[in-house]
Amino acid sequence: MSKIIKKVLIYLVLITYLIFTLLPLYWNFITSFKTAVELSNIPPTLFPLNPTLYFYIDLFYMRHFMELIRNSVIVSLGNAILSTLIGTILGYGISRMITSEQSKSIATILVILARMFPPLIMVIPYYIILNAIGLINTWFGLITVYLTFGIPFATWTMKGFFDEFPSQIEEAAFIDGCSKFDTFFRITLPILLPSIFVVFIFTFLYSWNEFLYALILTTTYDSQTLTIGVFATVSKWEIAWSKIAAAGIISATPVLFFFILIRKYLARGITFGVIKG
Amino acid sequence: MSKELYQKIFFLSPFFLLMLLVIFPLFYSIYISFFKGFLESFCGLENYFYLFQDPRFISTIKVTLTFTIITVTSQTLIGLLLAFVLLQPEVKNKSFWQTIFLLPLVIPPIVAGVMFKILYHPSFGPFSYLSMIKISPPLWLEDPNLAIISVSLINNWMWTPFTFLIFYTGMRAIPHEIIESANLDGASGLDILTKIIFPYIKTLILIAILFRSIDNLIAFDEIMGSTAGGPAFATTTFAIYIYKLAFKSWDLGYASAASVILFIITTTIAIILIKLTYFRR
Repeated sequence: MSKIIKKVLIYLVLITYLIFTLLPLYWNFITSFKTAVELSNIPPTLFPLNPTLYFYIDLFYMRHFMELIRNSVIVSLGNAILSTLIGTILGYGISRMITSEQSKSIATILVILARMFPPLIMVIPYYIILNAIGLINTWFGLITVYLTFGIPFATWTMKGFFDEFPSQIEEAAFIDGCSKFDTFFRITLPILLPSIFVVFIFTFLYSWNEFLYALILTTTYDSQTLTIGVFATVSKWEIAWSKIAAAGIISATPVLFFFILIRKYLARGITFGVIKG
Repeated sequence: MSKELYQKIFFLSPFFLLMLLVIFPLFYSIYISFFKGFLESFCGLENYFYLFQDPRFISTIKVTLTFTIITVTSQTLIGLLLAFVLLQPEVKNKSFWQTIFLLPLVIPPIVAGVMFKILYHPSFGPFSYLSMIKISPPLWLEDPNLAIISVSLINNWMWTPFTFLIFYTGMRAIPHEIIESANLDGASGLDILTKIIFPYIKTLILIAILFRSIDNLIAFDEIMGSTAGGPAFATTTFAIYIYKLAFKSWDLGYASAASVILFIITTTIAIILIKLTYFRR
């Protein structure tokens, strides 16, 4: 008897939370397919009766919207490539090149601290600096600022991967006469390629989702990212809710695709070294 | 020997790039905070003195603390509950539940804010069903007393998965036999939770609380996406206030002073957090 009660309670908790998690996504999804007439239905329909792609097509026909997607792809790719590259090199440096334990700790702590700086303290000076050197409203400017969270994340995560990498393999290569450079590029990197890919996806995700820096450092259609586009739809078309929903769905779709790719590594990616796994 | 040095320079020079990218703006921010407007006239610590007499700043602190306390508490408790429930041997397909629960972590926070704005809508959101039984749907984002709860709920939706994941991973590391033998001895679920699991993961709980506090003290995206700080100032947190000071009223010096204070608070928490995590192993 108590076994049954326990099972009921367990599934009650799990299903309640499942609904809480999926409801906002589902509601946004169905809203994006509803016509204006259907949207004014009371009570609202649980499935769109006459699903329409009108709002998606409308968004894609707006020249600016395609530009926002392009900007997001370029900035996210640019930052992911640079952060992963720099983070891999520095992660290896901290893991293998620093011999004293104490300086190793200090370097690691500084890297984590850099990640924990609130973006708000950096956005004002960066706004002034980018303005002064003419990099405001440019992809390159935004990519550079995104490095402030991309490099610490990539470095920390790669350092973890290098720490776990058996040093015997590298030592065997040294004995065979390989230099440290050769060992790094020819032996360690190829073996760790899947891990490097995970870091790449995460830095891409972080850049794709970023909002505050983009809001302040980009104001033209040539440079704004998709998150700003979604935000702007809310203030611009307060009435066209289906269109707002469609914009949200478009910007969340690539992220959901990546989520499936990296779900096993999620613990490692988001907890930033709190736990291993 | 010199080859060794070249290698060191190659692998460690990015460190100085990172420090340049982060430290320079930080010091520049502190420098700006000693001036009126944008470097108009030097005013020493005046901005800081004004800040603590600014009634709006004080109300911002209250809103931020309320928001942080609500979100961190609920995320810790619900995260613990979910992890504990999912740990039970009765649950089949654990990885299915885990995957679904983690989904909100990758959704852009600004999109989460907009999604909830649609969900909270009194005429086409699901709460409009209430009007069928003659209850008017709550004005989640328009009611000044309710709005802070509503934005906290968005933050909970986004970040409870984070605490859940930490606790779940921690609980799974507890040796199986310990819980099983307690089960055989007839210990209740509550006993197992408080006497066996809790001591095992109490550091993790503290880490999760600190982590969430740092992030939620600077919450910005989901609030901008849903209420943008309103109605009036009901959900204007620290971050929203600094944003408005700097980029709506263009008082960069004053905004910098506020951001330096925010920086001191979060960095203090971060240092405690690093002590706990990095020196744990």
